Parts: sequence; structure tokens; C-alpha cells
Amino acid sequence: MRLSKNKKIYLFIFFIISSSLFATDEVYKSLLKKAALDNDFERSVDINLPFDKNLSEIGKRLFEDKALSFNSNTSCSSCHVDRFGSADGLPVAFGVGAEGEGKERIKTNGKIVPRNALPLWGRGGKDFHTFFWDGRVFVDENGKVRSQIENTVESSDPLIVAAHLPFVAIREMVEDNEDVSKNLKKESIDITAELYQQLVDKLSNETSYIKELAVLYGVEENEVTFNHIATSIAHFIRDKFSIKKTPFENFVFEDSPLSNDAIMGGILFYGKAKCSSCHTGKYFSDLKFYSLPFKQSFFGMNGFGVDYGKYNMTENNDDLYKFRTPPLYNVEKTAPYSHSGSYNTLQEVIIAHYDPLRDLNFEDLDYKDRIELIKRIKNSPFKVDEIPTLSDTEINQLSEFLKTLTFD
Amino acid sequence: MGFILGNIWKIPYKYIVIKLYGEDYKDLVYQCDYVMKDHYLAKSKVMLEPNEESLKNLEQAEYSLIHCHEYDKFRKKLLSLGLDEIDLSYLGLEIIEEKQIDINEIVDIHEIKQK
Repeated sequence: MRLSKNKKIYLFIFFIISSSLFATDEVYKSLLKKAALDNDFERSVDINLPFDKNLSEIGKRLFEDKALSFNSNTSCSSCHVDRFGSADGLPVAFGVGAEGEGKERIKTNGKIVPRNALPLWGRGGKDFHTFFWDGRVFVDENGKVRSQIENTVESSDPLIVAAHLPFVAIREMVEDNEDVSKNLKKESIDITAELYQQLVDKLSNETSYIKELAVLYGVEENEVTFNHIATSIAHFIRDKFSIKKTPFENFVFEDSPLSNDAIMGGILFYGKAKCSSCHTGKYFSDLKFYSLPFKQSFFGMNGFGVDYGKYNMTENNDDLYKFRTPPLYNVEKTAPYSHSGSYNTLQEVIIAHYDPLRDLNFEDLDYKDRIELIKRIKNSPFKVDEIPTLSDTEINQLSEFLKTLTFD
Repeated sequence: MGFILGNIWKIPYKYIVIKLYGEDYKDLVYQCDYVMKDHYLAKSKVMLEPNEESLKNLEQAEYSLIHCHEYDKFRKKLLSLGLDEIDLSYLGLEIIEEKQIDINEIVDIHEIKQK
């Protein structure tokens, strides 16, 4: 069929108008940039703090060395793996006894640590003041670093204090055997000082680290403490897991392009979806605590499929089921999501925030699970006028926006 | 005759345009209505409880009003594609009354329950 010249022109105009219907215009870009800056989004170079290169280098070796665990089969890098965005790719961590990376750890009879392994991005950055899902290390209103081990470990740097904890955590890096139960599982936290000294003695006998640390810190070998080890690891974390430039940073500050879906997702993030109520600031987290109606996987920190979250640290009933808002840098790489890794994709976890019943199979829940879920829903921070109504298209746009927070 | 032929082609043309863009338009009608209601609620809350949280909520609701800009833009494009106000009003009504149950359906449901 041959079209006349006029018909061809009409057809061309029709297609131009049709395609322009879906173009993202400048007003959307400007709005997203304004919203990001209003919510304290910062350039990555302004977030990161300085570190000592020599301490970072020895910190890297310590981070990767299994000699730092009592049973010598677990290192920091067992659960903080590059290809899983510095987490472990599993719903919950598999600690002592597990071998390999990712799914391999499930098959090797490791001890389950009933929380999702957290990524490390930005942990050494400016104003990052609250660590772990339940905030077991935090900086109080007077600027003092508070933790379970504050009588044993003194530091003004919360990252250094946080770097101490996994080494004395039972199941995580300490085997839960008869000997440990008898000698180390005590109510007194003073036992931690003894444990740290034992680890220093172990390293002194088995490795050259203590000699090297003595030189680096300018102290005698017998003056090297676990604090020197944790400090070196903290310098490595500050170096390796610093925040780097993302497509979103390039968009906001250098006018680089983003896809239309990512731009619309960003506007939803700061607007209608209300994500920025909690995922705000330089790390896309207010570092505060909320109870969300998420599914609980595995047995939970309190057993029987229950995890009381921050309550376990404070014993304040107001903190029941509350967990720290997770920062979102590199979130694309750190699936599965939530404190017990119950959600495999970004879409699933976004939906679970406001429509927790959508993906639930009620046949899988017994009466205990259902009542626990009701408690978490009841404790949810959202008031009725704060629950967004989002379509699947909008969920996908939000997901596309989150992918712009990724870097290598 | 020329007048009739000149206008009759509009029927299949409009049908195609509505088939192509009708659902997107209806979705935007809903979105704009939703964000306006949300904005109204957020403003009321600031009046009642002026605090950091309610102000943040209002700020988010203000950003959301961009969806009405999108609706407005889409509406104008559909007008430029040849649909008229009556066509757009009809599409708008379809989405507003989407959940309306016909009285016969109520009777059917009732009858099924009685069986």
C-alpha cells in the first residue's frame, strides 16, 4: 500500500506526539534534584572519613584471616563477601562451622546466626552513629559511644567498638560447644576482656600480626591489645567500604542522565511512597528504629520464630520488634532483605512495607506465626494516612531508582 | 456526503487512540485524585499537629502533586491527538465508578448465598 505525502506527514506527527507522551521533562528532573537535596543527600567525597593506609593494609589481612576466630574457621570475610555487596547472599548468617561462600555455607553444617548479615558500605563514614540491626553500638546524645562492652572497650569511634563485637559473638565467631557453655557463657560482660586477651595470645602464638601491630602503633609487643586489632580492621572498613560515586550522585550534581523509570521512582521515593520518612539523609537511613510488619524467617533471636529486635538491647517494651532503618547504598547487591532475610527481591521488600499481606501464604502460618504478625502490624509506625497506595508499575519504578544507588 | 465521510473516520480513529492510551489516562486520573486527597490530609494534619513529622509528610505530599502535572500533560496530549472533552470525561467516569456494583449483581450474589 502506497501512502500519499500528506498521510505520511500526518502519520509522522502522530508518532512524534505519541512518543512525547512518555518523555520525562525537565520539571521531573528538577523536582527530584530538589527533593534529594532537601533530604540531605550529599556527595560521596563529603561523606567519607580519612583512614591510615598502613593500618588499612594490615586490617585487610586481619579481616580475611580465620585465625581471628577461636575455632580458626571463620573470618570477617566469611560473611562479608564482595560478590554479595559485602553481605553474604543468605537470609540469615551461617557462622562457625560453615565453609565457603553464599549457599555453600548452608550445606556445611554451620551454626545459624538468626539475623541477616549486614553490608558494610558507609559504616566508617561521617555521622554513621548506630550499628547493627538492634543498635547494640550507638553514640548517645552526649557524644559517648555506648555498647554492651563499654566497660571493656573505650573508644570515641563507634566503628572501632562495633568491630570488636563479632569476635566474641557465640555462633557467629565463637563455637557454641560444651566448653564454651561452661566457661564463657556467663551473665557478666567482663568475660569479654578475658576473651579478647585470649585472642591476642592466640594470634601471638600462631601469627606475626602482634609483632607487626607493635611496630605500626609504636608500642611494645606485650602492650598490643585487641583494640589495636579492631582499630586496624576499622581503618580497612573505612577504606574498602567507603561510599563511592553513584549514577544518582552524578544525576544530582553533574546532570548525568537517568532513565525515566528511575526518575519517576525517585520522585515516588521522596513523595507519594513516603520512603524518605525513614530512608533519608546521607546514607538513605535516619538510623532510627521501627517495627515493620515483615515476615520472620528462621527461629529468630528470641526463638520460636520471634525476634524482639532493639528490645533485646534496651528491655524497653516500646522497642519491641524494632530494627534500625537499613542504609540503601548498593542495596541492589545485598539481597535477601530484612532483618531475617525474608524477601528475595527489591520489589518484594518494598511491597512488604505497606502491603504485608500480599505475598503471605496463610496456610504456611500457624496460630503463633499469625499472632506474632498481628503484633508487628500493630506496632507498625505508619498511621492510616501515611500508608501509600502503589501500583506494580510504581513499585518497579522505585526499584529502578534504588538501582541508581549502586557502585562498584 | 463529504461532511459525513469527513467525520465518520473519527470513530475508528478515536477508538484506536482510546484503546492505546485510555488505561494510562484512567490511571493518571486516579493518581492525581489520590495525591490531591493525600495533600489535603497532610495539610489538615499540619494545622492540627504542627511538628517535624507532619511537616515532612506535607513536603512529601507536595512532591507527589507532580502526578497531577503528569495527568494534565497527558490530558492535553490526548486532546491534541483528537479526543474531545466528552471522550475524556467518559474515561474519567469509568475509573471513578470502577467499583460500582450493578444492582443485578447484588441480587445475583444474594441469590447465590440463599442457595
